Amino acid sequence: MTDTAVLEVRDVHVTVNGVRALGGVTFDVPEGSLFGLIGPNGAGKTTIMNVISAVITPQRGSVRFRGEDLTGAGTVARVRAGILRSFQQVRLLEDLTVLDNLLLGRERFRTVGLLRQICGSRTGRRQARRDLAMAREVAAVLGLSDVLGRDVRDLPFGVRRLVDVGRAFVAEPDLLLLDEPAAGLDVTSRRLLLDAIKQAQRTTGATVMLVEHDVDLVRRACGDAVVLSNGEVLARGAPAEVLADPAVLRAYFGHNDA
Amino acid sequence: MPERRSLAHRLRPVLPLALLVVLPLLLDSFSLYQATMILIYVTAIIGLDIVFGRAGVLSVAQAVFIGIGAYAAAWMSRTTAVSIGVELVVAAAIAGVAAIVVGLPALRVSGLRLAILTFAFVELFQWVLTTFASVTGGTQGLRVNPGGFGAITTADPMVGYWLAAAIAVLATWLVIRLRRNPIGRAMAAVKSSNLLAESVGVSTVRTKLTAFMLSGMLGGLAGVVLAHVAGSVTPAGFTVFSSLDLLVALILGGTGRVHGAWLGAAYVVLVPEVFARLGIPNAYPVVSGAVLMLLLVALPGGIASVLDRVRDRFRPRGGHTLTPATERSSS
Repeated sequence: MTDTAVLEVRDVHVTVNGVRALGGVTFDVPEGSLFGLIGPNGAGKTTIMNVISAVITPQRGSVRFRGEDLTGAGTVARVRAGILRSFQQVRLLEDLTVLDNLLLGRERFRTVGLLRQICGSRTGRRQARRDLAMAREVAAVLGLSDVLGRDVRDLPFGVRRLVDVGRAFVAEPDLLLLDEPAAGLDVTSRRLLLDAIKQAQRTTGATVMLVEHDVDLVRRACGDAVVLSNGEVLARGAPAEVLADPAVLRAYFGHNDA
Repeated sequence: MPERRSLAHRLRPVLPLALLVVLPLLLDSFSLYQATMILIYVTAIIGLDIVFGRAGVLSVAQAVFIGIGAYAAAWMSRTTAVSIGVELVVAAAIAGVAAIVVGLPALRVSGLRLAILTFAFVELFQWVLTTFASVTGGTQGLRVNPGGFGAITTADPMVGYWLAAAIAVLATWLVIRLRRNPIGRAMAAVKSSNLLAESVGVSTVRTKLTAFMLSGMLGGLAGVVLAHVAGSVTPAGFTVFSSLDLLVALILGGTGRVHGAWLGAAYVVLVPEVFARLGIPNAYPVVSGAVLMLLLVALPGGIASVLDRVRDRFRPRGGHTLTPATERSSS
């Protein structure tokens, strides 16, 4: 445990349709880190993401963000507090441009009312300029500057994945949860995506929790990691250490009942 | 900073606006009436497009909001001496509030179940109109006294046309503004999925209710003009079939596209007239149904999508606009 934890997950229990998905998960995410959450399929990685982002409510346990208990706060409230997430499947507004998709990430800063949005107030214009500047900055970091005006439906999968990740960074998150961002990409694209994520993280200063089952990716990217198996924390520490843990190897290679 | 728009882009609204100005000077009285009806439909369909085409919420209650506007105008024209401007504001406010109430179930249910719930509101509205006859005139409805601004009244069909045109232009401007606005993106996110919307901080509750409110307000405005142009209001004009007619017009024209509402409005006003002139008015519903099915299969983007494809074919490729435009193919 660390004093500078941005996120504290404590004793989280989730049961779905009578099946235990998480059984007392506890871990901390250090501020400013690129943190890995790994585990084999069905370990509960996405479930814990869903708990942190309030997509599902745990039966027991708590999530604290910057020392504040988030119990009772819905997804939108958590986003406004600075917790953003991406999904395993790319979720984009298909009929809109890359720029529009990136700008959607700025929704958490929206303060201008409907009438002033429609009629165009000075505050609204100032906010729009800030939003556009941030979208362009992230686009430049992720190499999306040349496709800002393109409809996302016309783009290849790898670029769409970048847009998905970019939208989350445009939101200037304090904590960004990336759910298997490299899923469906080839080895080269994975490496490029990882580099882009690291650079975007440095630019925005966000804490990133990377949920992956690709252990190599986590080994290369993350300073700290937690391994989940069967809804429980199996190991935590530096990726190289936890991935050498016999219990982790058993969970991954199936030599026990995991 | 967004790129400065080209002169050609800025002048784009000039031609359609000029057409709107010149058109009434060229039309006989019946054609002027039809043109006015098209403009009223445009406003109502844009309202429906905001809630269905933009926010993805299927509602068949649009006729209720038009009806509220129409009855509010009829009642005010008979019992007060307020100008039509006041009627428009009051009707839009009442219809907007009613739309928020109708939209409340959308926070819990969606799709066909929501459509059925909004259908219940249409039936409730019909019940109110026929039950409280002392206020609504019952099944006979109400006659509407001409309204206007001082000496300029809707007794002159040209005034009705200008009023309908001004409101249709206002509705078009509103929907164009929405498209380039955060609220438009929020609606697109809600249409895509609640999970996506909430994951970026969009309040699905506020966005859906906003869509309903705008939809209702535009319906109410259309209703006021309709009441004054028609000269009377009856419950028969605001049934679920009226709503379905608007929905068909929107789907035929093209959802989520500004010109889709205009094309759809022209279709539902002019095509029945064509069949009537051919002496086979009863063929219209059959042919219209067949056209709708054909379009849904072959052209889900409606007639507007055909025009978009033609335009895209002649548009130079490669240059990317950096101005946020939620929908490259519209307007």
